[in-house]
Amino acid sequence: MPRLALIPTIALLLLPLAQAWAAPAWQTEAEALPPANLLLDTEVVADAAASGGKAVRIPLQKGQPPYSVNFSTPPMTMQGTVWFTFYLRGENMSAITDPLRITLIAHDMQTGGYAFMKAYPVYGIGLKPTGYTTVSLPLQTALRPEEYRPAVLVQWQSGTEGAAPVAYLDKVEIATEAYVAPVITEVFPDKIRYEPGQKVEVRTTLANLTAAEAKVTVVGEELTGIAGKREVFRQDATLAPGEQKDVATSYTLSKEEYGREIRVRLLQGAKEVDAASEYFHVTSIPLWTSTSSNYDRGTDYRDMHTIFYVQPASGAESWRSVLFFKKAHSDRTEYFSWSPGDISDLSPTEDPFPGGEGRLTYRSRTTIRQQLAMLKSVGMWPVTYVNGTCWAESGYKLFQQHPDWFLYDANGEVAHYEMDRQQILERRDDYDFDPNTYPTIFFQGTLNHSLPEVQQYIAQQYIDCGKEMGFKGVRMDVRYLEVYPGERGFDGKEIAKTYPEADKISAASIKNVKALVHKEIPDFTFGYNYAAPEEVRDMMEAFKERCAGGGWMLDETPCTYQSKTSPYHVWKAYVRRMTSWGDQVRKFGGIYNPFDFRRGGGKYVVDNIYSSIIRLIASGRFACYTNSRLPFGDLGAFGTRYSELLFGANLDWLEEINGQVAVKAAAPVWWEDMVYWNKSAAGKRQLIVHLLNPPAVAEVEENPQSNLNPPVRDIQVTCASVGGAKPTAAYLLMAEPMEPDGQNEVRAVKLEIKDVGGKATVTVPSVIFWKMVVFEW
Amino acid sequence: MRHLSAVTTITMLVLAILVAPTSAQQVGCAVAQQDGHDVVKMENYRVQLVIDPSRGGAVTSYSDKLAPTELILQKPFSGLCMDHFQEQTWPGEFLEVPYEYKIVSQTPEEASVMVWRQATGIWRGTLANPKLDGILLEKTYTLRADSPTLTCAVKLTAPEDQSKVFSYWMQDVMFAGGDYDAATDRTFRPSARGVRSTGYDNNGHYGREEWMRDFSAGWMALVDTVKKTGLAMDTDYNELRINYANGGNQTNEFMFNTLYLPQGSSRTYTVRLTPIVGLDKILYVGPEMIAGWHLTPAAGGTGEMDFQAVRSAQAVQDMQMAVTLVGGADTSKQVKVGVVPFGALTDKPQTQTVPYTDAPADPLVVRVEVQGTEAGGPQFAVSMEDFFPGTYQWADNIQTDMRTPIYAGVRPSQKLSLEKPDNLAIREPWMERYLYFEGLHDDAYQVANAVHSTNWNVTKDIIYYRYGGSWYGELTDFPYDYDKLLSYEAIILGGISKSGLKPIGMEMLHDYLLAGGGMVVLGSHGAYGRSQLKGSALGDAFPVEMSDSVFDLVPTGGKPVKYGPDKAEFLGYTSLTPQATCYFLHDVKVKPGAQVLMQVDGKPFMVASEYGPNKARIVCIVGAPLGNPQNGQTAFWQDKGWYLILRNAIWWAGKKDDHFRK
Repeated sequence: MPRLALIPTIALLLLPLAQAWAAPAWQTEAEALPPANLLLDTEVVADAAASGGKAVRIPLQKGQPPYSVNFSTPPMTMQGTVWFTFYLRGENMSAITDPLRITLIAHDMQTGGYAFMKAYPVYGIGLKPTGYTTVSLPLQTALRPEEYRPAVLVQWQSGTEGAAPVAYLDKVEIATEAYVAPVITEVFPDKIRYEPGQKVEVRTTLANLTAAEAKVTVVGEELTGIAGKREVFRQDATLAPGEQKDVATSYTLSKEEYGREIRVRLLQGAKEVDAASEYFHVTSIPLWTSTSSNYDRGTDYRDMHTIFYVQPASGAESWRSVLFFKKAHSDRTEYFSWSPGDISDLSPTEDPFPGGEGRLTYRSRTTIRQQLAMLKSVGMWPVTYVNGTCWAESGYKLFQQHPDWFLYDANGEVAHYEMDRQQILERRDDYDFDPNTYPTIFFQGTLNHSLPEVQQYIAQQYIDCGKEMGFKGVRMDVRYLEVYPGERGFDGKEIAKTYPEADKISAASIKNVKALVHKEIPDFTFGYNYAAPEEVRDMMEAFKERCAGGGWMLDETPCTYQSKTSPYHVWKAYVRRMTSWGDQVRKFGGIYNPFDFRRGGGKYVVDNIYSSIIRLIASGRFACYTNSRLPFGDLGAFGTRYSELLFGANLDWLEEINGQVAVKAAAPVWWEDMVYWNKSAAGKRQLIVHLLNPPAVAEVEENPQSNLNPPVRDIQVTCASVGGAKPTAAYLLMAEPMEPDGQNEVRAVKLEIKDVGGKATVTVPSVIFWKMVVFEW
Repeated sequence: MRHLSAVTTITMLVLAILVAPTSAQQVGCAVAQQDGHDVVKMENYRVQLVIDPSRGGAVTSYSDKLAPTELILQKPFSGLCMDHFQEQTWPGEFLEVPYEYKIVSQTPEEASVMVWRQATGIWRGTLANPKLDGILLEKTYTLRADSPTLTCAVKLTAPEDQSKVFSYWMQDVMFAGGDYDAATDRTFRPSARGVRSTGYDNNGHYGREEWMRDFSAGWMALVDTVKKTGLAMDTDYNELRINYANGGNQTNEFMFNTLYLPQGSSRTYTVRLTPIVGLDKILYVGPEMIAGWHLTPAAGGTGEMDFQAVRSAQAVQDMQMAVTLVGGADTSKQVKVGVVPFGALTDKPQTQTVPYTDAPADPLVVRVEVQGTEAGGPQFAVSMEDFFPGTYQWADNIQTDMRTPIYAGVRPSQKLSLEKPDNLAIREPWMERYLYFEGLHDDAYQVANAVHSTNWNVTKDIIYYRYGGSWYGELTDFPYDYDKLLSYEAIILGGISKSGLKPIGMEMLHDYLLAGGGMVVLGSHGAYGRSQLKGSALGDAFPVEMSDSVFDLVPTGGKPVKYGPDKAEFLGYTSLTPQATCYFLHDVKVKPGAQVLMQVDGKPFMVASEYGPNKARIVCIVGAPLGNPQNGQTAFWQDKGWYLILRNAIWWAGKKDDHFRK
């Protein structure tokens, strides 16, 4: 993680080595704010706990403008990170929902517009139960000092029915940084994912904002596994006063796979004056550790992904999104529903073309090809979504030419067609044509995947989309080269009369298409929808073939599990469903990609946090729910760094616990369905015990306040000997802090092993949401 | 067991005594003043209600004396038997507008009140629906002294000089139990998936199922499942199009099929509204009874079922239920539970319990065959069925893929009763008029070029075919108006199926042929065998006998299209090039007397004949515009002479012989 991105929850800040606090450049008692700046029902009240006995009371009230407090300060000189510190206390504030949103602004003195702006939610969990808490929020400004006019907006971000939170603001301070030594502003490995043994080029950007020339040494340390560390580069540099400089270094990866941290230390003489890190993936199979952080709900964010396949985008916009996702440790991008006809039109020759599977959202072939090149330049793996059916005009034409290539139902029909829509589409090249008059796609048919000529046709489509468009793989939806009993060929005969027969034909079809494509593009990847146990129970051979060799296996059915008709809307049942199936997919060689509730997440914050944690524990690769202001940590960064312990090919889930491990705590802690054996890349046997502080409410989407159980403390984890040998080491791995008001940090801490009744025992101080114990032999 | 509690049972008994004897109380019917205008109040031993002519002739107040509370919110757009046409945007022209009224009969045993209004077809100031203009809507409410049921007969009559086309919609907006609860007020509707219970909240993955299209009988009921009171309604299943419940439980509405009414003719829809007391899970509603049930499993395939029955429109002196439990996931596993006897049905729920053993594993389907005797002797028999998902409170008839029902029963087919003009004859419009049904790939046929070439000024209508989803075929439109249908010179029938035409469409197109209309039938993906018209009067009118198989397209290997053994005058002066190739032919047999005008490799390609008393002309093109032309070939539908051949066939079918004789 770049150091500058660390956002402390409260004001207990450790000063970066190269920086120093200046005295607050501006401060005020809240009650001294002009009354005109207190909006809605905000008012000055007496408060014995506040300095001066007065505070500003900010109750939740919705209105226009939506701000409860809105003030600016006199202009001031700002540089680097500027800290806005608020002395706050809350009443009736939920722990992790309905926050107070504080927006920090530095106005440009010339234009009056926003030069810099950042918004942060402040949650109840970050405030002390009594008295005032100092909440310091950073605003990144220019490295060189300049004058700005700061401003602050405060508003409630509350949507929970019945919520009535109140915040009290005692005082506000603004302080800017002063630099006493050079700093690292960015560590940038050239790619987010490498293959073992590849060369890594690391660009470290330094800035010397002091008044003196600085001679520094840049030292790179690569961290692997849980505790592996080696120095991989060391380079001297000299920076003139005010100079920014990129230091280019490189090294060659070892043959070991899985997550890496490259930690760059900046030395001035022997003294470390700054340090910063970044994580990346090392895998021989593309996408094997493909997890990442989703948009950070702990600050302001905007959609950065739809420009890849929906909206028109400039080159600059595209590159900004590429860097955004690399920073989120994402190595996979999927272009969803972009093509004119999916499996019958994956390399359109028109430019622009009617995209969105022929829904007439016009797309640029040139732009897509340019974006794909950008993504690949930073090691990302762009894949194309493929609706595995023939859609729209290309499908319609293919059907006219080859009706004998298609599947038919017992009525002799293909999937669907709407001839009125076809007539609308005919007029699409008119200047005044309105695409909204064509809301649905007029034709859809499914190819008969049992036919060798169809397999060849599909393989050629994939080869063309790889070679002509630049995609690195496909992810099939709707159909995945399979056939089912009851489906018929052109002659009306059932292709397979039974599921075993259909399974066999489907597996062969999948295998053949993969082989045909791999002849031309050896590392082309395949992905598939319909990877839920309910969906594959009758087609296990085809399922295994889909998994084999790193198939991306989208388990979409969990998007319905919040439904009360699903037995898995009970958290306990959900855990076992996900971990057991993730283990199965991994053992078949697949990459498990479970969907979230409702696809985009459950109703409440707590649902999203637990869903992400449980799916990670289940070897799920996905973009994790992220909120840097809440104490569950950066799950995407954690999954990237410790991918071996979450996604390793050697993991072996324990279906039943038979004395291998025991967990004791005063409060309930879930672990039984979350224990794995592992053999590390370094060849060590490991026992992984995930410790989950259970959801406070047993069912999904039944906790609108997102109430939490208190942290579970002093958890004893006891591990049995293996072959008479006790573990030689134990570690506690976490993304969350030790205490709710602590700082999120991806880290591993060595635990002391004690002998309790002849068994190796460690004590975990606390679990807020999730921590992981690893015993190692 | 989920019997009525003892307290509830006693309460019911007391109430029943209080309102008994049922038949001794006369039916009341009187005009009263309410808010300065006339209303009609009706009452019998069981219900009391108000009909408000000023508010669309709806029932604006309704109370069940066994559960006395007002079911209808006293606000506009609330009430029972509110009239609407599906062709109009809600609220349409009938809601909350004045109706005429009169008491048409009144005896101690029975009273009838009629309200009526004439439709205008006007919406927002313009004549938006001319086919509704002039329809007389007469609604007659009948309440008998000895029955809890209010009968509402809606008679729709076309003007003496105009035919009409409409789709009637009866809306009932009320609160079961007198108040609204989003979760526990439930609508019960029979479907192929069992009796569906829907609320605004607390539904399974199917959601509120507002537009229920897979209903399997003509009834629905809205019940406050806590108070166990509500209102049931039933009508003729054959007339229904959709059982609609706004919000899942906020209204109960019957949407009727689209209907053509000849000049001066009428159609009457009868809806019976019957109060419910003592039931919280409905199994059946009909004029014979309202039935409810529960199933309480024990262990190992054992358990107990209880059935409740109350009287409905008709008095029943006895009946018995033969109960079978069927495996929901495997219907071959069945166990006959036994026969449950009931005595004379009354307003008080009569509950019978029956234990069962050896039942298949959950989920289960309960099938009940009822035989009974009405008061006075007539016998009746009815069937009912429901799905029991298991004891897990949120379980449902859906597999864990959250898409597929575990069990889907059979919907009975609906029987048609169309109104028709007295004289089925083709009209003689002054301008040529053609109707084209376009199916998949029929656009390849150059029908537009052909029709554009028929005359300098023709009227062209096109109806598109859609296929997909649960509803199979669908047409974007249909001339349900016989006057319009019979005005076409010829109809070009592309690849559309019987599921798109539906029985009404098939019958009307056959009527068109009986009237002497012309038809050109195009071969294509959806034509002939796949149309599944074989066996229908329409399909059997064609000059070719279609295959029994929907897979009737046969590859030719790419053979040229040539003239056939029979000659036709309309094919003179037109020709295809020698390269015109056909790749797929429908597998058909030429009927005796039909002429094979064109052929491919010795097989029929174009066949023609006359049909019916008015010598309808029908041309069947048996080739399909499918295939991939190779070098040196021209697909026949792309051949430069094709559209003229098609044009001439349309002329001939439309009896425009003078065109090609010029």
